Amino acid sequence: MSEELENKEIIARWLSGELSDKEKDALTQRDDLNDLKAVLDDVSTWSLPPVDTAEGLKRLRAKTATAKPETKVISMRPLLRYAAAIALLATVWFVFDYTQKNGMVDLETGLAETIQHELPNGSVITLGAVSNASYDKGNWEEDRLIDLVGQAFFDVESGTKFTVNTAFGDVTVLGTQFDVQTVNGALKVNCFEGSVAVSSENGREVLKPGEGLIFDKGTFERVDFRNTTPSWTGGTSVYEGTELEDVLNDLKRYYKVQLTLPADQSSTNFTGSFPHGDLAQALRSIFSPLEIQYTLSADGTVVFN
Amino acid sequence: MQESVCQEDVYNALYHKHFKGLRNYVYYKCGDLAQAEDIAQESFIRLWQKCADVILEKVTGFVHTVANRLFLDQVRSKKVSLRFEKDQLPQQNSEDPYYILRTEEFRERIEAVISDLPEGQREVFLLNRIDKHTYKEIAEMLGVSQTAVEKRMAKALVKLKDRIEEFKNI
Repeated sequence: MSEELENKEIIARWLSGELSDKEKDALTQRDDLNDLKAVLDDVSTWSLPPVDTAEGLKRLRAKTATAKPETKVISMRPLLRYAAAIALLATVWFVFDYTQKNGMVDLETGLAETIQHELPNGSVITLGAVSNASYDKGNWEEDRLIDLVGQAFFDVESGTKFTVNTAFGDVTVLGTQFDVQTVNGALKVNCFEGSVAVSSENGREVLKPGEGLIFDKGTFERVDFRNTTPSWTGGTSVYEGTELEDVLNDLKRYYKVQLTLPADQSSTNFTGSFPHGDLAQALRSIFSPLEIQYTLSADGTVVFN
Repeated sequence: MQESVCQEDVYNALYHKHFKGLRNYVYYKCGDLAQAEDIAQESFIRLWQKCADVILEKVTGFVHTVANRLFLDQVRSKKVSLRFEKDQLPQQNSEDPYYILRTEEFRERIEAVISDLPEGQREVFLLNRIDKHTYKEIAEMLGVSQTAVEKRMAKALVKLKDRIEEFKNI
């Protein structure tokens, strides 16, 4: 009898009043739910001690009053890092721009590299590792089109509009911050501010802040997230229920590492993150929660035991 | 100007609105009210420190995730024993077919059954019963699907129902 109630979560929906008429009829035949209902109604009247939030907030303020300036100092550091990266790359582009006859700007990153570049309209593109982005500078006012392979984060000046063209579909900006990724054969777009339209053969979807889209093998999947900037621009990659194989493909974009996933792990999913600056730590972050044994040799080969 | 978690009045309103719910959620996991309050407070401190990185609409999800990690960092106590404040027992009335279900002894047994539920089922059950959250709201808080919440709830309810029958037959 109980299995039947647990099946399809009937008993949970019975409680929340979301059963279909047919399911309801089946349940009225039985009288063993009355006692449960009486107990549940009683439990609903139970409570926990109240909280003085005015007092709690005062204590919190006393604590954070000194902590706040410190966090401000920390938050400047990534900016300095970017400034250094831009200074280094600016010289390269300088030469680049004068040698390009047709005004094509080609940005390319290698392993473990991230670069930031300002587009002609004042918007900023942050290109992730092993990615390529290009656009026609001379024609920018007309097309406002960027070709992208790999991963990039766009912080777009308001009032400007452009399209990111990928092999899997187009992403049109409506004034915003967003993240585009074409890694592991799928297109992933996350919207952090404003709104973003994604169009492909299968149709058009508009994303609002905190919404993302995964376009894989012809199907759309909408996802939700909570952070205001993509984690990878801050030096970590974060996953939620992602196939381990895809996670390892990403790992290979950030580290010179050789590894082949054992066949028995092909359907394993990974939830967690790995840092971009420390291979030993990154391997530990991925494999120890999954209880997968491995050894890392000096030449960067990972062997599974 | 767009509303941001970093604005003091916005943050304060969030604290007043969500602190108790968060404290309750941690209590369902650890069974220690003082520890639950500490973890909830620490979660809100993290929210303030990260205020620029958290989207306003996703604040509840953020603080619940942080609280869960803090709980996991601290030693996860093996057995919890939850205690709730209950209204006075109604006048015993033998006409009431359910009066046996509302005796003090019976209520303590139910409390123990709830405490013994696996953590995932227990928190979903109590967030729904005590804090009156819908399955959809719980799913958003915990960052899981609504079906996952309904599965946990169904398991908790079936277990509770079976134990009620046992108690009645003793």
